[in-house]
Amino acid sequence: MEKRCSGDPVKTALLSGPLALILFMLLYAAPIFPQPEDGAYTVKDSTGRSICFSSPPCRIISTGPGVTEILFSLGAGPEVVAVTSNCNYPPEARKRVSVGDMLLDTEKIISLKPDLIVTDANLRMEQMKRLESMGLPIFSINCADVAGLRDSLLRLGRALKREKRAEEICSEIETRIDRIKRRIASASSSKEVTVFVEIWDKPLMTAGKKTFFNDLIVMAGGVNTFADSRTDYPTISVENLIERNPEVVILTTSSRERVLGNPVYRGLRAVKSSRIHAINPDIIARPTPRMVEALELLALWLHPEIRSITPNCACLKYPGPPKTPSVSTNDRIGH
Amino acid sequence: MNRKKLLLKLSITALVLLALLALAFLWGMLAGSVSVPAREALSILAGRGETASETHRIILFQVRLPRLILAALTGAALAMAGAAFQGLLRNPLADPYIIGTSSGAALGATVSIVLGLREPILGISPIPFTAFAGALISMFLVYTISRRNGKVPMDTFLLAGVIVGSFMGALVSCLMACARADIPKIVFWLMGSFSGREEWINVLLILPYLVVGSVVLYRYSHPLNLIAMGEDAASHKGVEVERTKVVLIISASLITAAAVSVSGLIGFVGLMIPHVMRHITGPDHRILIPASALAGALFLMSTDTFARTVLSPQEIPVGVITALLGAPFFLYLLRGRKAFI
Amino acid sequence: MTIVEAKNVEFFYGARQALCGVSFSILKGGFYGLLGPNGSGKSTLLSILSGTARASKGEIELKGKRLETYSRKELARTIAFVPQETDADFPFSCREVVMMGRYSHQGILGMGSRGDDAIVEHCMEITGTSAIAERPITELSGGERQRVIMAQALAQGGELLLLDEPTSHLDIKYQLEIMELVRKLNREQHLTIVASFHDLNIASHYCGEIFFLHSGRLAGSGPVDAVFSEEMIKNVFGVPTQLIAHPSTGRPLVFFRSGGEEQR
Repeated sequence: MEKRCSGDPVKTALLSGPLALILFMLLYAAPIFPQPEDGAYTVKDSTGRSICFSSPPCRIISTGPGVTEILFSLGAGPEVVAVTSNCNYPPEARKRVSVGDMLLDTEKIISLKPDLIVTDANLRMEQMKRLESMGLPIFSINCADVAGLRDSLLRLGRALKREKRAEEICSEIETRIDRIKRRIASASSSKEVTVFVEIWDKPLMTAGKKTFFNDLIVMAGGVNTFADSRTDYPTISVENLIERNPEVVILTTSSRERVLGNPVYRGLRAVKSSRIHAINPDIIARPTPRMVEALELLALWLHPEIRSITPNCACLKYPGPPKTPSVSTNDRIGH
Repeated sequence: MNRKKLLLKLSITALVLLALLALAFLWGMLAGSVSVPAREALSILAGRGETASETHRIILFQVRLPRLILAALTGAALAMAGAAFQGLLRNPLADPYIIGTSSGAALGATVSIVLGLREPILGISPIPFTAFAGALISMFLVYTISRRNGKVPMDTFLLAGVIVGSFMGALVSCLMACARADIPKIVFWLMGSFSGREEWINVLLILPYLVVGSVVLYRYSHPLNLIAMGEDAASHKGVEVERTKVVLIISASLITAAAVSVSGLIGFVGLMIPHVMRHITGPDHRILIPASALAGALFLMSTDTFARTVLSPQEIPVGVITALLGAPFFLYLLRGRKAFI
Repeated sequence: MTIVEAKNVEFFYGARQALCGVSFSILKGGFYGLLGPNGSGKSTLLSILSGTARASKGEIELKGKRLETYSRKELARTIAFVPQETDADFPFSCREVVMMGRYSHQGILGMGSRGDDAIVEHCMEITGTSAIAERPITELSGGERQRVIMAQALAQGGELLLLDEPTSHLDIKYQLEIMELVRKLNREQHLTIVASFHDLNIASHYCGEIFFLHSGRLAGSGPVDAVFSEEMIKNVFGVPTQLIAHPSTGRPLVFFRSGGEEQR
């Protein structure tokens, strides 16, 4: 073999090697850098995370009932491929595959090849971190209060390219809330009604000031009897409840008959005037578009003299499943 | 000990304990997360509370009173059963839960919670009933496993109790894992507490078993003395050992089952109280059993009052307090006079 | 008068036969010793006599009535049993322990029997335990405890006293103390005694009659002088011995030969 000049092949090798490597990495890493392609867009979630979408996601996994409701309300129901076992509204959400309840099945999530996992920013932070480190796309929304609800709707609206729908829902919610507030303000009894909301029966638990329950009560023109508690969900003794003697009692766990029949509560004003109301805990616990239902019910119960508030339980119409699916969720494998 | 001496000792012990019990009762009625002024409370109790607010009257008679009575009955039941088992097993550190009935009750309650049997049957929550059924099943299993040739050797009985108890406990964990949403409810039940249970119906549920069980237990308290000195020796002195053992085991287990079904698992009462009382009254079960009952009632009543007032309006489950008291108790035993054990 | 009559008693522990066709009589007022190596059936025989175990085959009559027909309490009023050792887990006072012996005479809650206190006092006097009456049994020495148990047995008011190796686990001083007490009970209280021994010399010194047991069979029975012999001991225990007469009592004294002594 004839000897060549040592510089040339080595130089070539030295240059071409890393060059090839760099080129290879660039090609491989291309998706990380937001390329100004057609139709691509970036949305920030409620934690400030930037997610880049090449097209609206069509394989969405929801990690909670509130998230599910918001997704379906935006019309993204067909794109939702999986939910949790607690997601019970709207009814067709129950037909989706479940990825768990409190604990999420990581394997299942991965096998479903989602292109977006929507989650509540305040829950399951550990699990989400783990999923994110595996390369799965996480989108957090703030589901803590009414302002957060609006924010979530708009953000998700942008992410799913359904901004118009999101604005529609927000404006309807605002309209209805305003209407209730006006009616309450103009009511003859402007005195605030004392309300006790039962979060749990054994042990007896209620909601403090910094909770969504409290917000709803305040919006409905009431005052939470235990707004002064030190914790958000204090367990209280029956004695305190009897002493504070709220005018209205909202139940989420016990049955109305049980409370009315229990001799311990005999002396309560609310029992004597039968102002004990049982509410579907789902609508009062989740900041979702259905919260207006809850608000309207609360307003009616707290101010029964305001005849003109009729709770609209048909609520916001969630778009039903289209006749033919806009995307076939079966054959798309994701990005 | 002749009749006179026995009655004398019994009377003195009972009187002292009853006096303390009355004081604890008074404290329990006056203390709570809502402060009812002492004068008003006393006048209500004395029957002259026409001017008192109805709220306070309800708090005293519908909240505090049933709770105090329930705590007293539970404490008495656990302490008496503990005394009986300590004598039967010839171990001053035996506990009524060691024979597995408590785990059976836990399983019964868990099944009820997980199946969502929430709504009352005839106005009564089904949980105490399923818990009691679980306890009975457990008792039956333990007895069947340990019975050999018509006899129940206490060593085998103890082991069978541990086996059945762990198995039931494992099933409870299994159910908890399958129904995670119910975990808070199950854990609360397991912790042992009187909050949320201040209803007269719970008193009615535990009372018959307690009354019948304690009468039977007391009737066999003297043969229990002999058995505590050795089963063979007792047999030689004329005791029908196997029959006595079965009766004692069943009545003590029933008492434990009733207490646990209604109040959850409150630990250490059945162990500490008879152990301590034995040092005060002596090992004669004719005095020890009633003394333990009264002391148990006194202890649990006071502990519960403490549990619901110390961090008012938050309530600590009373089972947590008894468990916290258990550790220093054992430490004292370990470090104290050898004669203690 | 015969107090116990046994005919062809057999006993099986599962497959193992512990007693093979043993027959004997026990006369009232006698002082019987049971001798034999471990596994010869001594404890089994005592268990059967005391009612703890039931013979697999054969008949035993107590005072002319079959043993099985006695109720527990009746049996306790006739026969008392003193075990080798007594566990004391609970600090009952000695008086309380002795009083337990009266159980078979009492009603519910240990009531209903007159004169129990006096009887207990008397039993404690005889056994020399009056001084320790109020002390908890858990604090006593082995010898003291054994005497308390004897007092308890005495309090049962029976006619027959069975003792399972009463001298084992005791110091020599207490061994002799106990044996003197047993002899006193035999002579002054007229109790019939049946006791098993390990120590041949103590048995020979105190007993009137001896039963030699070997592998579940009665190898020999009869008065001490008649039945003690080097041959018998060799058969039953498998050791060579030499017997001489006790200088004072004339009873047989057993000397063990290790086989390596020099012949003087």
